[in-house]
Amino acid sequence: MDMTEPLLALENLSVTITDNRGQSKPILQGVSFEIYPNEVMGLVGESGSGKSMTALAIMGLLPRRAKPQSGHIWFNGHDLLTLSKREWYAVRGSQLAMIFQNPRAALNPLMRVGQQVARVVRLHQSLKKRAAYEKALDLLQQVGIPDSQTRARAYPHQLSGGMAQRVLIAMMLACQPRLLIADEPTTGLDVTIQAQIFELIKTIQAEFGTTLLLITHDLGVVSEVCQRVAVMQDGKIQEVATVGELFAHPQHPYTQHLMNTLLRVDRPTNSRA
Amino acid sequence: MKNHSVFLIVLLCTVLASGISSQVVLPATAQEEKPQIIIAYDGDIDHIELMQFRSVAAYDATANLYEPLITQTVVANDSGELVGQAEFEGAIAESWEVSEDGTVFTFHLRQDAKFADGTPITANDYKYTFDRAITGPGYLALLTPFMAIDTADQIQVIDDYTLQITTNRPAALTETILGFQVFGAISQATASANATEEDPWAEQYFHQNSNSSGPYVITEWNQGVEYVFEPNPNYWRGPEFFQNSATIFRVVPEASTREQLLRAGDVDVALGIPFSSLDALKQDSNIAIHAIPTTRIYHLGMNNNVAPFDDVRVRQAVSMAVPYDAIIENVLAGYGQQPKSPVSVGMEGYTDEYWSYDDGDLEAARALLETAGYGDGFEIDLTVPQEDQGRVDAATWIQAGLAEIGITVNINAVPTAQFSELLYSHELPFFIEQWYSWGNDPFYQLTFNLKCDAFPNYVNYCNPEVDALIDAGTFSRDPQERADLIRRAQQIIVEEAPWAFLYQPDLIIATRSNVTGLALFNDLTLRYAYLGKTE
Amino acid sequence: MTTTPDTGATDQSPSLWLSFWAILRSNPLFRYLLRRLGLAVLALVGVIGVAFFLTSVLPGNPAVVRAGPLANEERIERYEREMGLDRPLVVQFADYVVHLAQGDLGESWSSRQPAQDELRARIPATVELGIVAFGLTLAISLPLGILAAVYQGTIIDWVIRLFATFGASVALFWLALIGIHLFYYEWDIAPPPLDRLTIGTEEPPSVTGLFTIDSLLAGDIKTCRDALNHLWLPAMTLALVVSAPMTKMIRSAMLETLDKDFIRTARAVGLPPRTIILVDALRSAFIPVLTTSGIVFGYLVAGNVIVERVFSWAGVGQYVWQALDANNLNAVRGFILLIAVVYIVLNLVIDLLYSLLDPRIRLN
Repeated sequence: MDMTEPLLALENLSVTITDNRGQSKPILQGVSFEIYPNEVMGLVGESGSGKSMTALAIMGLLPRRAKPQSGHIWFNGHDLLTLSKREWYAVRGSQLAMIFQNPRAALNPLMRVGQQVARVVRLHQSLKKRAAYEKALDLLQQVGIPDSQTRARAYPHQLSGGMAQRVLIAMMLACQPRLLIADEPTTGLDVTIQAQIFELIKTIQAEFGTTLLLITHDLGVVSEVCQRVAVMQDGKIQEVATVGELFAHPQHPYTQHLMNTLLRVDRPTNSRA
Repeated sequence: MKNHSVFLIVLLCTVLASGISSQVVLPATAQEEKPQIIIAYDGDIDHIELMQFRSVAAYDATANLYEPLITQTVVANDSGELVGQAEFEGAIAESWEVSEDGTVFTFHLRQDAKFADGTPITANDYKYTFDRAITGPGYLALLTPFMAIDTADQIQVIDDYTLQITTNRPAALTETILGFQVFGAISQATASANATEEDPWAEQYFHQNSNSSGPYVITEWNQGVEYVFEPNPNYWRGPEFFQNSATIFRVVPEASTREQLLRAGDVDVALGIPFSSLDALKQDSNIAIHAIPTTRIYHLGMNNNVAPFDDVRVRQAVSMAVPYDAIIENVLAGYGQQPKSPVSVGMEGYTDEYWSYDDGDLEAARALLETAGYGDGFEIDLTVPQEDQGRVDAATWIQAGLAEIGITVNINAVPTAQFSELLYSHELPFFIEQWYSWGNDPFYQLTFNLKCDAFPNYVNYCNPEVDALIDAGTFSRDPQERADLIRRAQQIIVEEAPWAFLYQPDLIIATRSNVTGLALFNDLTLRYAYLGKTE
Repeated sequence: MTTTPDTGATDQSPSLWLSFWAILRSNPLFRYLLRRLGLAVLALVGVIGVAFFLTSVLPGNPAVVRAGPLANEERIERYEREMGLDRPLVVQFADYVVHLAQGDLGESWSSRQPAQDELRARIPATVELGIVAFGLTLAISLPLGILAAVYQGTIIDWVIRLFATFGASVALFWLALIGIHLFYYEWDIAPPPLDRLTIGTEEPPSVTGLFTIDSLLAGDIKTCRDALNHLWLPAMTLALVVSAPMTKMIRSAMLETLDKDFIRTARAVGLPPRTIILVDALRSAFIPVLTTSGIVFGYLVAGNVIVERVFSWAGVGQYVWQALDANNLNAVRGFILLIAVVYIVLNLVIDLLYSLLDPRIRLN
């Protein structure tokens, strides 16, 4: 493990959310972990454990009712929590990017997918309209969309979930971010497609050297893709370890419990080949 | 999307800017010295077919389009309004003679009188007009009996410029009725040219057209908006008769808008101003309020055929309990008077000497109800047209007044069209109705309202002695005899109380204070030619 | 079988038509329009029936209205005959439908003119006012609705919602009077509230009936300005009141859209907020907004009696008001038909717009 400066460091991050009646409750409590350049970090936990909120906090996209109370998110020597709205727009996309679960809903339903990729290309690579579109087609091809010329003219609802996720990945490639967060990128996709998407993510990570934070509840995926992993429960980090350590000696009782419950799910082993 | 919002903002700015830009001004009419008069009307002209019932505003229009044989003289009253008199002067007829017995009228027509199209107005045109009135489709056959005329052959053409009318018997109102605008000359040639087989009287044509025999022609007809009346170049009185170069009729349905327009000086005359606005308008020195007493009479009808009003004592008790003064004070803001007989105040022969239902005599009223067997009172619906706020308001005062003598009144306000239908059934027990007599004559008024077989006698009042008195007066040309007859008729009717006589509202016409020549005949229509302006 | 040259020719043309028809039928848009047209005709037939019989049971007898105060039984009966009111209602209805099929709405009983001519004369005034008011409504409610959504929970949102609540509760009549008093009487920046043009101004030659457009077509800038000058205050009055529900609608549609996943994606890739709000969110929000817009536009072009009365605006709203007052049933029925047609056409246009704006919606 390369122990240089971390790319991203969460330090004691606490976030509370306020409900309609004005009562607030904590959703993240003292979350701390680091991600180093070029590594693939996993963030695991059951649903509701605060994984997604952690990711949204890093992206500065927390829901309106959720507010950071204390702590820091260090990125590139800056505390992201202190960024102004304007500064955020310089960071998102070009430095940090994120893909979501439910990829079809994550694409604008009223815009052809090629256009959606192309406008991100234009935004981050200052190309002319025509050139940006060409580049978008390239990217679509790179993420394994066959017949990208035709598919680029499709609307999201005309694509399968897997295709839509590839389009989203192509958008992220257009951003060329330093850190990419993938939040359950394969949820809702069928298993063969899941495997293909992870394959793609791995390839891209290797090719572009993007640092990746992979959020999942699937420890199998973690063992496959990640180098290190953080385990979350009830808004707290319970354990941070390398994948090897974690699977060999789960320290925390919750991790053991997670392994028991999550690994019991029969996974077709051939899909990870 | 961005382009769209820009477009909308530009649109908004354009519209706002156009509002701030200078207003379009009428081209100056330097060569014409006479002013234009703009009148804001509260209603529209529905049609101008002279012989069919039409809207109030349409009667104003036809009054200025059709010229009868003779016309009322006008005299200025104390407040400067020109009011039609009981005396007549020649209009298209230069002179006329009446036979000794008052049955033969010979009219000598002006040889220079012309229709708007330049053709002369002859005795044949009047003959045609009377034929159309008597045998045609309109309602004028209901008026000719007042002249003792039943058939068209009572009108004879002696020569082109001499017309003779022979009545069955002497009639008091022959001149009055002949002077009505609705007996103004219709061009026979124009009518024939536009008649068809299914429309022999060319009604369809005359609904929106006229070959004017009167002072004005309509040069612009924009229904619902505007009508421009310009002086008829062929009018017999000549151009110097007109005090304005044009009269513009604008439809302004909302009373508040009419007030604002008058205050700002964009209209010269505003009709239909509510009583409640008058105090405020009077404060404005640029505005003159003309409150002209009229003989329009509002009455509380009690159906003589329907219990409990079939008992005269009940009707008398109601007449005693109505709070007359309060109604005039509150509903009319004081702009009106209380009639104390079925003959309107201001009509020839009116008397209040038989009035015995003094305001507030509630003891007597209760006693009468007691003897009539209604000592515990009763409950009754009072029906009024909901669009007439004055009548609805008056109804609430009547409700309060009658509650004092144990009568529970439920106010039933219905749409005007329904109100008419209910009235015409002659079965409505209790209602507020109004009447205005163009004839401005007590016998004319009573003939329509209280004769046994009269259709508008919605209370079904019937007294043969009264009928005889009315007929005698209608067909007498002796003023003293008529005075005696109408006194007796009033005595009986006031005693029998078929109506409670409620109020006579003033006619309110608001003008800019520099407007002169507000002229009204018996039909209460404005005669535009007199309207002028001082600087 | 013997064939003459003739049969060959006549054989061909129907097959040509048939193939043309087949091509048309295979076009989904055409099929859709055809079906919608069929439904529209059905709806219209229903409206005609309901309008006829409902107006027939309105209290009051039109013959009595025509007779006026100097009436008697004989004259009322004659008018009933003339107006065809003495016949059984079903016969009257059949007669009405037969005339309607020929484009004849019957006689306007007040003026004795064809009702369709009178309505036609009044429609442009209402439509012109309605269009301008609708434009202003969008100009007011779009920015306000968007601002309120984007700044949800802030003072901006609060002020805009206050405006919307005010607009929803203010009486149109009162607002129109205040508008006239201030802009016309006090400040003299609005023309007299007397219909559509200054007294004495010649109407532009009629093409569309809309004075602003016709005057421009005739190259008459002065009349166009006069027409706009007369339009803005009544249009603004309507727009202020109608903007209230529109603003609320746009705000909530925007709020809902701004919560969508794809907006989060757009933010995650760093798209600027202006693009996200005006391109991504607004376009999606437009789909629910379009429905409301249709209702609002229909309301505005159906003629607003209050604004038309107060501004002496001779549109269909005032016309039908007077017609109701006078038991002028053919005019009322014509108006109801007109409104039905307006809404049917609007619905069709909105559905077509849906399919233009949203690729997920297919026309079948």
